[in-house]
Amino acid sequence: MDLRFTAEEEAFRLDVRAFIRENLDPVTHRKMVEGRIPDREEIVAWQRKLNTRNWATPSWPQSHGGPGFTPVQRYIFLDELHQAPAPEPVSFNVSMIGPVLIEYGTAAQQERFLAATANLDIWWAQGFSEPGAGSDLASLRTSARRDGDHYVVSGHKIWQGMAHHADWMFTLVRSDPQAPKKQMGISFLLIDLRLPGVTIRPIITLDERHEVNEVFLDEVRVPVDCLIGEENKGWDVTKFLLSNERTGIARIGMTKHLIRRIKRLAGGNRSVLAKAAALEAELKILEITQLRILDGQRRSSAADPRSSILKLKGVELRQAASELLLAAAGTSALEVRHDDAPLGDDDAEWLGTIMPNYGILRAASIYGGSSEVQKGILAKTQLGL
Amino acid sequence: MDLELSDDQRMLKESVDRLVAERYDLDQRRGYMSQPAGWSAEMWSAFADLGLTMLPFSEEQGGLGLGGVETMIVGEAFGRALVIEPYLPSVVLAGTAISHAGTPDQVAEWLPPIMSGETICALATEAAVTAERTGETWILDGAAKVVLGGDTAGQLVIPAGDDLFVLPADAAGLQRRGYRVHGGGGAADLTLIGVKLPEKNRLSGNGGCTRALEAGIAWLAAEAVGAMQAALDLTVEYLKTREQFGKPIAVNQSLQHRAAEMLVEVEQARSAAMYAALLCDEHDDHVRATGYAAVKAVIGKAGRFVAQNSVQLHGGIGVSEEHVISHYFRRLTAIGMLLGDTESQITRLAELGGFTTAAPHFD
Repeated sequence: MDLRFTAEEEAFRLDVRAFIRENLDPVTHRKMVEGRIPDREEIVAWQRKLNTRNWATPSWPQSHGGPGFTPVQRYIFLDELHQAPAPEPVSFNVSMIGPVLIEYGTAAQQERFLAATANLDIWWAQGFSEPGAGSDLASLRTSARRDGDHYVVSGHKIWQGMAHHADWMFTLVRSDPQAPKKQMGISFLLIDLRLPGVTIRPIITLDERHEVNEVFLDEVRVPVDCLIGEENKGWDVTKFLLSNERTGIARIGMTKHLIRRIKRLAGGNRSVLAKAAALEAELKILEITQLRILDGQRRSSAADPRSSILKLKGVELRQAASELLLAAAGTSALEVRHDDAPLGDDDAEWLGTIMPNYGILRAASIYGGSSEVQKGILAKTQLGL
Repeated sequence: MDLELSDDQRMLKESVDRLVAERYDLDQRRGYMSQPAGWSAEMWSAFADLGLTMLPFSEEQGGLGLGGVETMIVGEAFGRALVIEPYLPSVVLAGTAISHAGTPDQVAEWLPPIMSGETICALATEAAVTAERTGETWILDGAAKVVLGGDTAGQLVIPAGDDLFVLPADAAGLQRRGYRVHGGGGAADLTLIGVKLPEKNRLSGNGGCTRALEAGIAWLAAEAVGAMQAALDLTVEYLKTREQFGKPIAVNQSLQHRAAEMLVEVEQARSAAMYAALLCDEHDDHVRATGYAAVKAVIGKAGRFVAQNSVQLHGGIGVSEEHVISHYFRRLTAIGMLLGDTESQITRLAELGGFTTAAPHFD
């Protein structure tokens, strides 16, 4: 039994770190350090830099333009991005639709989309949730009616992260309202957001930022060659997408970055430092849990239900760190200062993002399977309850 | 990285698991507790026969030369069976202290009786003792409390000043008051008044004590995992079989979620125990110090959560002495408190600067 990384893995970590240091635009880096959200152009530029080494798509196989990372390399790569901190490659592209195209896409679809998806020439949005379909996703109502070579799609999607930056949206639609089970009548469609009938409206979240949107689809004519997999078999594709790519789901490196900020702000405040140490103790052990699950992935590529532990505990610690950062910053953090405020003096700790980020991080225990859903999964799959 | 057990480790696990499964159920355990020492000399011999009492010591020192993982395997099995024999005090704490701090001559004198199981040795971990040197003789004065295994030990290891001293339990000037400890096993409070020891009984330096405490934390972590997993398994089984309002209580989502939260803590504890087991080979003192502080902090918190909730989910029967869950509750509570509770470990980790510095990951 051995927890150590190999010399090659340690060298790889340094290689990733050096690449980030040399290639990440200083303004983008500064924004990430301060917890601001980089602009579209900054994110695109960074992903294209990563893509020069095939690193924009860490989980893709070499046969489809990925780097062929081992699970351990994927973890190290993401951990370095999180700790730097640097933007992750856009997850809708590389963790969600990319693997789906590789698994279910036709040769023509792969040819049309894969390279552009990796290079962020196409920015994808995720069109899953609806006002009436959150955790119970399969109850979605957006309809798709076949009309010749097109599906005519109408409905209301919600919580599309960064859809105002997006070109396309992968979308779940109800193509057979008569199906005996609600999971059976669903299809997986790719929708060009420039098509007539598409309207994107911002939703301003409690951090006073525009990150998410709702998308209205009004008789949008989607060509049938934009169907992924078989008609009415979209739920299988969805399950594949949701079980795919759980590496780094604990976001341990991001929490470490928050702890660095806490320590800078805490100065000699012993109470804050003790609370930070309590978080660090649990975070250190969660890192071991993460490695145990990675070790399992080396033996089997099947989805590991223990990933729910990483999500639950990872979010718990990240939320707790954001709360402690708020405490360390004190009332000065209450001043409203938006992300587009000019970058100031290099050494000054930017307090403007602390309250907004504390607030919006509450969403982390809601999206991607809420904490309650994760507990349900664990009770069922691990405890037989 | 490789987190699987080797074939040899699997065989060890099977034989230890079998031994406690056959000879350590709750009734048998009650029988062992009622013996004069408060534990079973026969079981102790069985552990020695299996080689467990010599397991962690190097072959040079006459041991089996096995490491932290093997000790973890034994600890987990002992935790599940709630073993009360003094393995932690004698082998893990006192044995590690002597093996790390002793000269070859001292190790040759004190360690073999521990490895054979014929002598029970105990290490004072909460001691305030001074040592004055007069010629070739050391004179010890002071007190030690809650010396685990101290009630039945024939030999004691006591930190005084900058060193450790080995003394027989019947040394002149040593008084001890032995007692049972909640959660199983025994301990003693010691008073030392002018206890005279020759120079050869002094183990130089305190490094042995630090190593012993670290080994103790690794052991407690493993024991906690065994106890927590057993408590969780019993609780899940109970949820599935206990009926109220005409249905198994497992149909209640609040109880399912509580059990899932317990699972998360058990898995965290398991990670902590594995980390602790592998950390004993680490050469960097700071890495070991921060690592063991984190391990014990997490074990204490996770153990308390699982202990409290396994009683809660068992309902009334959970608070009865008769039911094994109440024994897991007490042992996990004791484990959390021994060798530094969560709060003191967190304070220590903070003093050591934690794992992450205030400096950026890179400039």
